[in-house]
Amino acid sequence: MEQSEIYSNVVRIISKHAKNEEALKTLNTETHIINDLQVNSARLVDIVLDFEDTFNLEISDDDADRISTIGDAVKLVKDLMH
Amino acid sequence: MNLIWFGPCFILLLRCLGSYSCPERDVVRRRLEHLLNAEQGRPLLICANHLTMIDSMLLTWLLFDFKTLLLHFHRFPWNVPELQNFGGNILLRIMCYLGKCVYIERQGSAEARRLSWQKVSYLNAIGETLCIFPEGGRSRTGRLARENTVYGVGQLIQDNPRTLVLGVYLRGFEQKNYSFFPRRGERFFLDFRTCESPIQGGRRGQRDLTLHIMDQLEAMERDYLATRQ
Repeated sequence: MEQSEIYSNVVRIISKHAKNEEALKTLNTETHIINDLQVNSARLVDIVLDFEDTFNLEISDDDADRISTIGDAVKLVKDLMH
Repeated sequence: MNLIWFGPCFILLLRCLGSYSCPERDVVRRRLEHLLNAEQGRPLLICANHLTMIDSMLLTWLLFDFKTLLLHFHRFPWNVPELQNFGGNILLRIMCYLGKCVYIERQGSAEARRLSWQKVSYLNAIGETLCIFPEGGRSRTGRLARENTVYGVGQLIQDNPRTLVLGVYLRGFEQKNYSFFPRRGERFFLDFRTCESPIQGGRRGQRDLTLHIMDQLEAMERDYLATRQ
């Protein structure tokens, strides 16, 4: 899967849980999932489970805890897929 | 020993100052006593809906009589309040100390949250009763906020599969949405269901266990709303 495809899927999954709709208009790899998008920290579990289902992979708790920005999520998915 | 003087203050606050009452209280207490006798040795986890800041006090008062709490202090539930809400001043801290609380910082670091849950899991493992609000905070709409569900409850059950999980629905008849206190003179609806489901591992298992509890709470909410129409 190309990085652009991973990025668009990651954005689609995270956007479902974003409370700050304004921040969705200026998304980039530096966008912080909790601080900028105001995703409830409890919803990170749903996001990680969606990543596992969408990309058919398993994400450890330690790896999940390291996801802060959209770029982190894309990098993690890319690393686990290759 | 806390309970000997804290208990009467607690009851004074709820019964005299709040003038709160619950028509089903005695029936619910009898059902619960019967259940706990049948399930002896299993730690109790109370999972309730959340509409006011004193829900945990109300639940303790309504579910257990004073004698039970005095003789079986492990039945007095531990709570997991948000540090920002209940750690702000010395009076609240004393109340929380006496009222068996483990603080949590929901917006804190993953490590801080994990430490709080480890303490709670330990209490559960040694047979203490816990009271957790799976919604994580008070519902702003007056209905169960499934979208805010926190899956830590599922993790607790995974850690100790012997846990007896009780879904409890408590609501003032005049409670429209969330508030700090119920209105004075409020009468409460109270019901509970046991929540047993297969225990799967991992993050997915935590979600499924927690959502099963939410299913039971939603079913009780539907029953409540149906009887109020």
